[in-house]
Amino acid sequence: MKNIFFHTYLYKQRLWGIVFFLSIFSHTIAQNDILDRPNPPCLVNDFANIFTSQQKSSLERKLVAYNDSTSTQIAVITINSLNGYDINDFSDRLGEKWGVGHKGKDNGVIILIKPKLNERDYGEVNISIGYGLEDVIPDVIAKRIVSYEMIPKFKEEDYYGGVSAAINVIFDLASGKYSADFYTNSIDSEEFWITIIVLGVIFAVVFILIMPRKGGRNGGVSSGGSPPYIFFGSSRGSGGGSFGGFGGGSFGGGGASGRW
Amino acid sequence: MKKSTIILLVVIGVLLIIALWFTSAYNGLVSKEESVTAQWANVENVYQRRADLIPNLVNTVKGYAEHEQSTLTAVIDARAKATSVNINAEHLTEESIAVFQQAQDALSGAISRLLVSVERYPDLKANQNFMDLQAQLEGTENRIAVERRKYNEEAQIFNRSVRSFPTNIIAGMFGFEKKGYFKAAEGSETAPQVQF
Repeated sequence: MKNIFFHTYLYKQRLWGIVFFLSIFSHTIAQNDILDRPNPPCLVNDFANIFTSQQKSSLERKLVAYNDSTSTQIAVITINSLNGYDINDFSDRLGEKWGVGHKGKDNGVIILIKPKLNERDYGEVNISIGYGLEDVIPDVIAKRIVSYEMIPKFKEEDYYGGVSAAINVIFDLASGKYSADFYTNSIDSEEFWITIIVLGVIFAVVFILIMPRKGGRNGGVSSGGSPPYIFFGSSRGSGGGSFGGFGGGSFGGGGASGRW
Repeated sequence: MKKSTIILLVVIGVLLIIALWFTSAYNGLVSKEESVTAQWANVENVYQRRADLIPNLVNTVKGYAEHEQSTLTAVIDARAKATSVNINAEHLTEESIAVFQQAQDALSGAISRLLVSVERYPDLKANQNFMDLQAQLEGTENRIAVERRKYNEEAQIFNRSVRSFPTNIIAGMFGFEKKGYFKAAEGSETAPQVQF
């Protein structure tokens, strides 16, 4: 009798242990459900491999050029699984985590596509609009872009055509709201001087670090080359353009989604 | 230097450090509480946005689906109840948020029942005005989910400092109270399922 009790006790202990570990484990999974920001950052992230490499670099070039001239960041992401999230929820969390758009202006757009994988599956697409663009691209318009520009083409597996058409509409809508000039002018002078001082200090430090080595060893200088790259966020120019990086934009659930 | 001067200086130094810590801890709590209050305003905004959509939705549905009178009345009643519950942002307690959430969730339920019932009216479903309303409603539900999540995150940051040592001493002295959370009740986290 006692033995049985002891065994159930042990069993319970073990069960609690398992529950405990599972809860920790599931917690860490929940944290990593949302994809990490790509490094180097790019605007077209085709994890589901639905674009050819030419299509991909053509889209990337277009989006980088648009970011350079208007500062509005449009990210296209394709993925095979949403890890059980609603597509809009996944997209908003992803936008927040990556920081698509610029901080303070929140002028980011995310086009997230989960392609139809087989006959019984359904495809899903979502456009998330950053806070700052909600007035130029209201939900109703986002919905129309999804239903009239994207889904009809996606049904024929023309993912590139659908995305291009959607991007062109968004370009037209968002143009004029923010320009790159507006962005540079909006940095107030105080922030500007702080940036100058910080950059000056960094230069001084780098200078001091490099100086004595020039005289002596020429050895480990190459490793010294990477930190400045990180500081200035210069990308290595993968694919078409050279995208400077995401700017910390925020998302509030605006946009629309659809299925096919 | 005399021994007493040194002691005096040390005492003044220690007092200064304590005073500085005190100020920064207090100010930290104030700014965290401000973030919670500001985020609460965002939550109220998105709920208000939904409430503002409902009269238009009801009118559109009314024209096509005259047999759904009881479902429509349920939505109108739930909206009236939900908009009547207002919480003072100074008192975001567990109980007051529960009351607020209950009223809003009742409205969510009524709306989703209405959207299910209109499935039987193909003319209505093809109406552009109705489709636009549906898109807006869906977007608003997403916004509600996002702002609620952000509110919970801010409340968690605030609660953590209210409860952790040594800031909890200051929180207790000045009456900073723990903020309530939104709870994920059954089905309330997911937007009403709209089929197209």
